[in-house]
Amino acid sequence: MITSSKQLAIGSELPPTHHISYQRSLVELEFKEDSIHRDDYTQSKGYAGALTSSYVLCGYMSELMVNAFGERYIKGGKISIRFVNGGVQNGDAITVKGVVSEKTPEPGGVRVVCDIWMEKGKGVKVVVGQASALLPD
Amino acid sequence: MSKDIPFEILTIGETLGPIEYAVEKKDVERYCDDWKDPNPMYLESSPFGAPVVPPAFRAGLDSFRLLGSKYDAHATLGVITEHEFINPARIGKRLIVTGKITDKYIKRGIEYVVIAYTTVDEDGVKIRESVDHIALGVERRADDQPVKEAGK
Repeated sequence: MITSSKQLAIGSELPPTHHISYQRSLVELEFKEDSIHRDDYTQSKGYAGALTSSYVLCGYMSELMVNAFGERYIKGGKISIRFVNGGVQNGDAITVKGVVSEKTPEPGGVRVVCDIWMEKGKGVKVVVGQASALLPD
Repeated sequence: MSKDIPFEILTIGETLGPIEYAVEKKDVERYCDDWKDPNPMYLESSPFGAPVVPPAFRAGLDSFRLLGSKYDAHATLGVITEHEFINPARIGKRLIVTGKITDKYIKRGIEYVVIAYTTVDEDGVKIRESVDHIALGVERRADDQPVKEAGK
């Protein structure tokens, strides 16, 4: 785990995480006919199938940061992500990656900002954004 | 355009919530199981003393619940979610979430609403500040223009 901003240079890669995407409610719940959580509706709109919820994807993205920065992300961390390119469906193999893009002094330490993204399939980015943790200098 | 949430009636500054819920140990265990993320800080102990709730627990879900407390939000879609994790939430505490509409806009014929919301625990400890951009649906407006923005 990273405990000081000095351990990281701009361009440093965070250890990626790999999962098979799973949202329990997509399996267990019924959704109304025009819900983005239904295969038939989303497929009629050009998606591959029922869309995984943003909070589920935020959990996967956040795990990358907790693994790298621990309590310095849990208290003082920030995340901003956007869902793109048709989203994620249950059963998709996903990989979350990150790279240090910025180190900015602020009261209490140095904010280490990372570009983060999620890929599925053959490297298609489906979530993009930034996240940060506040580390001792 | 959304047939469930008329874009025109959404008002910038309109308050949403509060909603309240408790996060119990079983909820965290289920999160760790579903996300395949058995971090000991959530299940055993943490630098904060007791185990803590994963920072992204329901991150990006509560805005839908807030919108759903006033409108039929079943056809909505999250497009951007932003969070600042101020303090870790403690297992067993009730969380209270309040929000308000801070913007609305139309982009490529799709209607969006922006909701800013704050999560505090039952003791008044601030847990999280969040902002979500939510599409009201995936149907384009009949009066779709190349790019038309409102409320900005």
